[in-house]
Amino acid sequence: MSAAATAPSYVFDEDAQATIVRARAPLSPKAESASYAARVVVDRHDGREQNVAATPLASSRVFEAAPELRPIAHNKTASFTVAKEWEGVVESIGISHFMAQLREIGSTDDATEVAELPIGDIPAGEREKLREGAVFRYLIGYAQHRTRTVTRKRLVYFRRGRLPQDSSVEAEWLSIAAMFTDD
Amino acid sequence: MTEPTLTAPAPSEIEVSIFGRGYGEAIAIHVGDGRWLAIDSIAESKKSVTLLYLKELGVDVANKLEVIVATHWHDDHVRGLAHLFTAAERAEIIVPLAMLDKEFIKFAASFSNQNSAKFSTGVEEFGKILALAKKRNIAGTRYPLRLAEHGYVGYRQPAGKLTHGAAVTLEALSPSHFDVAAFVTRISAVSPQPQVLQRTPHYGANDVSAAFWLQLGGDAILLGADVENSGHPDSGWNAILSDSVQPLSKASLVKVPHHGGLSGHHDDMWTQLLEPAPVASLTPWSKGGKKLPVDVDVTRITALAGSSFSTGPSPFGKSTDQPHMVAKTLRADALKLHKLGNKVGHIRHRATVEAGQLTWHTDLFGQACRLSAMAA
Repeated sequence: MSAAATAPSYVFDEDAQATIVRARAPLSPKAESASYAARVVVDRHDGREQNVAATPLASSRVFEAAPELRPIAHNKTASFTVAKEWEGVVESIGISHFMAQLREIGSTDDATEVAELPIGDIPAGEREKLREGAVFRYLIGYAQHRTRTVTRKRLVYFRRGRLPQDSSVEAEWLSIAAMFTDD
Repeated sequence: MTEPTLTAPAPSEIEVSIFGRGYGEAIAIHVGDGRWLAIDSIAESKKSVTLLYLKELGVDVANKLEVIVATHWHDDHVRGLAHLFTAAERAEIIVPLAMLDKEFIKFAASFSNQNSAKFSTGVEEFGKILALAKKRNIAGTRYPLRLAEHGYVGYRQPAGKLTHGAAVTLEALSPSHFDVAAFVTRISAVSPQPQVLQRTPHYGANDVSAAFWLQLGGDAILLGADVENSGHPDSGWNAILSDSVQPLSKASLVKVPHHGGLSGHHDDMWTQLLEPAPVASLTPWSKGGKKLPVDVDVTRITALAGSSFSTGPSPFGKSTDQPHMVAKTLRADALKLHKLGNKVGHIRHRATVEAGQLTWHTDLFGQACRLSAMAA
């Protein structure tokens, strides 16, 4: 199976207000079949990967833009094919760059890389989320623009926070703590 | 150079093995007669490096690893700790007192679902340890979870019980009451923000790091954890050094606090608690492109210690190889990805007890090196 067939594809807003919204439609039935198992949809509003391998792409879920983001018109999208993807954590923030730890998505080991990345790689609408400890995805791949030109591109998008765990976790932990502290 | 072989220590030998991976710290201590203590943990492929080591030596971990200490909850000190505790079926686990404070639990629980699959944190290990301690607790007879604060004795063997004849006592030097109160106050106002997924933040938790003093007959080992020197008289090293009760003797071996950084240095620690020219070992660390120790730390420590060692030459490895297209994209803006050194370095100190004193012999494994090799 070729690398092109297995690489996940995304649609992104070329104006960089919203990075990744939904899976790209298949190029051809053959390519679709070959890449089905590896295809994921990234919902940029909660950052969770959703495998749609078992779902026909025609009926796969299209994620709505978050209220703070501009709706994305179809003719403003272009394709992005990922060559490599990492999950990262922001360690410190400078004037034009930020330092991060990165771990490759799909890699089975826990090897960690560190890098100084340009803040300019973060879409303008996302930069307010840059803070120490923030978890993000870093992608390098080929972008095919509306003009059909193809360029190499780096993308950053931040993962959305989850609602705090329900209070049962806290209650459980407190009850365990009480076993050891109430003597 | 051929590495020394890994063999179990003799019953009368003391061993202090220090492990690091460029980011993280774990210590295994043989106190005699096949009995072991473990301080902190690092993981390799999600498995505790201490556990892998002890198994390689043929140690009966379920029965002979008697105490596990979590000096604090930062992920560079607790990764794999729950894995180690699971295997050590009869071990007690000691955590800093502040970790069972209701404010810390509220803080930890609120972040317990905030972390990414690729980056675990100490909060997750903490939850696993609590669950295991609950399972093993037998009210009135067995309390596997113990709480460390200044003065707490976590392990004791009387003189004459072990083959080497020396008494063994493991005592917490920190955290002070002041540090616990300050830490709890700080974290009580912190909760996750919905806008972005964020790792559990560190809020001066080194202030509640538990340093330990291991007294072995007339000699001792200082395990400095990440205790820092904030300058406040009731905090960190100032609190330890000004205490009215001081150790019976000075230590001949020190695990240098806070990865050798200046913030963990206190002149009086070296003169008041350590013998002249002690053996000193540390694990390097990095965050945000900064590393510990820096060159001036290396110079300072090598001057103060008789011999000094590090679990690795640097927290950073070489730039990583990337596929051609990725390398080209990074190169366009002179971006480089460096490996955070991830091969285990192992410093093994061994000593026999002679006339109540310890004479140390050191072997280095993997990435471990003399501290002077870290200087640029």
